[in-house]
Amino acid sequence: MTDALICNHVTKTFDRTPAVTDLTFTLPRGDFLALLGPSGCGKTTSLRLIAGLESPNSGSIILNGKPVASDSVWIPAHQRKVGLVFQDYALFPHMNVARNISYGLNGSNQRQRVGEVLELVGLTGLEKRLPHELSGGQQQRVALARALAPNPSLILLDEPFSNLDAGLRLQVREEVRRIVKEADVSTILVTHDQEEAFSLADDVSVMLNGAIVQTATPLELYTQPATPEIARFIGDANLIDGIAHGDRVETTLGELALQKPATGPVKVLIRPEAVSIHLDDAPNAEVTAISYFGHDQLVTVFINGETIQVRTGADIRIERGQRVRVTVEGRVLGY
Amino acid sequence: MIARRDLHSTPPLLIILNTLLVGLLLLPAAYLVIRAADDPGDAWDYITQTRTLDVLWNSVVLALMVALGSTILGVPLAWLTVRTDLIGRRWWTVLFTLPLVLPSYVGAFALLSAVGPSGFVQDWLGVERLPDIRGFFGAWLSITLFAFPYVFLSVRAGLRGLDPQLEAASQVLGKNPLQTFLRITFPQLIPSIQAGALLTMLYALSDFGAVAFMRFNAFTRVIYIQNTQSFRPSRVAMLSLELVALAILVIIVSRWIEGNAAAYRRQNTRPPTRISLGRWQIPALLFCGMVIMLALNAPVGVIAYWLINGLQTGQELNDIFEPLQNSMRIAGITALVAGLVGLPLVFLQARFPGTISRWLNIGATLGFALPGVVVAISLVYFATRYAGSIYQTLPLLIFAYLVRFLPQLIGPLRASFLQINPHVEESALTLGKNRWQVFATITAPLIRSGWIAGVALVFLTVMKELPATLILSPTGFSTLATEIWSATGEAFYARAAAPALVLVLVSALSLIYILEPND
Repeated sequence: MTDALICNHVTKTFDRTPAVTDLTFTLPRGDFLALLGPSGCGKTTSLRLIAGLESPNSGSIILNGKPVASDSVWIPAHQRKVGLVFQDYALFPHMNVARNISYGLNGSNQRQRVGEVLELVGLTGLEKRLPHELSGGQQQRVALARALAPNPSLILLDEPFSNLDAGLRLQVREEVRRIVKEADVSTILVTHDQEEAFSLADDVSVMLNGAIVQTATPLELYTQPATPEIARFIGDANLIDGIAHGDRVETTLGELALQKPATGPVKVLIRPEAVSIHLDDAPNAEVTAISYFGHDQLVTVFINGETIQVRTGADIRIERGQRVRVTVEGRVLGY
Repeated sequence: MIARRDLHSTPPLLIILNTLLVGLLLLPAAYLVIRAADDPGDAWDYITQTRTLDVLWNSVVLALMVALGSTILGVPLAWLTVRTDLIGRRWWTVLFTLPLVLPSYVGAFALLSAVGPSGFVQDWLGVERLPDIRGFFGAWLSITLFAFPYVFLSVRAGLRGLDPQLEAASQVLGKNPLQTFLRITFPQLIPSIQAGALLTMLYALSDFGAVAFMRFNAFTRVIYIQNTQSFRPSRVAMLSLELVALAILVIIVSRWIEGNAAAYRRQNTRPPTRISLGRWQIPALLFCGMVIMLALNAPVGVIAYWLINGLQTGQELNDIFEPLQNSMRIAGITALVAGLVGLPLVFLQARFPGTISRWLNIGATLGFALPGVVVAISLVYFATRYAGSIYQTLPLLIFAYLVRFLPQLIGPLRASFLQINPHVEESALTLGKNRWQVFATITAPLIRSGWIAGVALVFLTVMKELPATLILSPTGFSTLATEIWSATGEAFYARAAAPALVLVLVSALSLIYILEPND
């Protein structure tokens, strides 16, 4: 089966400012991929390149086995059959819901198809409403329905949840995942929100400074980040210096077990939840700050000249300045 | 790299089309330079004569005083209707916009026929002779009373766009309302005042009717007289160029002021806070009433007086049908042509900003600085030398209107283009429609109201136009404006009344389309 999308070393520069320096990834058919990166890293430009709203400077984009942008091929946006949902939804303000959705349809049975997708997004009965008469969540689902209506093989979502308030966001997220899975369409979601990417996507591509630096499942990405930069971007990370001797590493937190053997000076990644706090009479660290979240707490401790973050249960009563003992559980990652 | 396309580069065809259009629009200005160079020494001596320098002085003082008068009227009226609980403020807003439909020469005619040398007020009062209002005062008054709405509308928009939280912040920081107004509100209004004042100054510089009726030697009147009396085109061309240069200078200075007055604008959905007038309600209402009395009731009343007077003495009314038809026809044709020609110009400017489109835009909007009398005279010179067959034909007249009034369409049309979220058009592209289909189904419906407003504005201003119509009309072709001119020139006030009243009514109707999109 051909892959839904392959991007090969795609680059894009605006007025000598590079926006995308190396966009390389493969999206298997039916997969839900999240493109995760901080703002300004080139995520949105990547989506626009895939949709055909920007043309790359070099590299190639292959849609369903067919090149759409390369040194010798250029297929414009309106011939690509790629669905795109903008962050601001971009509904046609002068058309009602039904006309918005049928805009990309040709031939007969348009009415039937509008009914189908409206049912899919759960908005049956709102055909005659104008965009400004809808709530933010409804507008978003209309935008999704409009993009899905022509049966695209690929759908692109640009930060689709950022304009919704926190409570609605969770609900709409699950809804969107259900809809695209039900429609059996390959999906790329652009987001800067790690939780959103992890909870929705099958695979996550991390984009930093215009290049995709790692594509992996959420689990692999969190536990096996390819570089310290990725580790720092994905979740909280303590990165401390150590000297490796085979599968052991010497650090200020004592001698720890390494996942992969190494030799010489290394950076050691220790996730805050891999560290435990013990309130016994052999303390080795001092608590300098506490952020209490309810479901857990993030405690900052000072140990042998190093500042370490520890995620610990919500039920342990700790105070600033208190002396505690910290230990590291499991194997750590060295770079 | 054959397949690479820069999607943001301007389509060459659009540039060629626009360059041709702008080249045509620049023709009258360029030809003046050529004619002035026929005998440059003599022309230069002429415009540096003391008498000609007086004309420059007259025009400068008139423009500045009109701007000052309009600001003194427009700013308080805008503030009263936006920021206070003035009784009937919606009605007042409409009323303060209406003077725009009165051409200054109709105002001048009303003023002159009432309190002028052979006016009726003299008889009523039983005095031998009222002080003569002709000259500077009459010209200033009849322009200011019909130009101040530009400042009113601009400041009104500015006041509505202000963030009320800034004033709240100032008050929380311990400033009283007056200090807040002077230090927070007023500085932010400077760009609006300046924009409105610029329009009134250009109005004053290019106005012909009022200065002609009031016999005030501003540029336009002197150019018109020189054109009919002297046979030295290089002198007239040089004088015209001096006026154009003055108008351009006014635009540049005002842009410079605008650039220095930093104002932070944002989309503002919060309604402005209103100040309760309390016991000041009555004086405020009196002030508003007085302005409307002078700018609206008095001129319309005077015209109505002459109309009745004329009917009683057997004046025929059906004389006005032909001029009315002619006026509507040329205004309608010009407005539609402007609507067609304006689209590619604005499209280039709004969608492909850059150096080329900026210069083309400056060329296309030069008409703001070209008074009607100047455009007309340049075209007369051009046609008599190179194309005698188009002299005194309707196409040439309509072309003159286009040069002069196309810039008025560009403003509202550009605004409606820029209001379209680019993602909306891009969504349509990803849904499988090509650029032409997207324009037809998405862009066109969304710019419609701005287009209609622009076309209506061109229609209104062509209806009112006087000097180009006088100079370029085919022989025997009369419009409402030329009827008023010829009747008033011979002091047949009763004969001027009917066309004046009809002109005001048609103009008022077209104003509905101009104001609707904003309010």
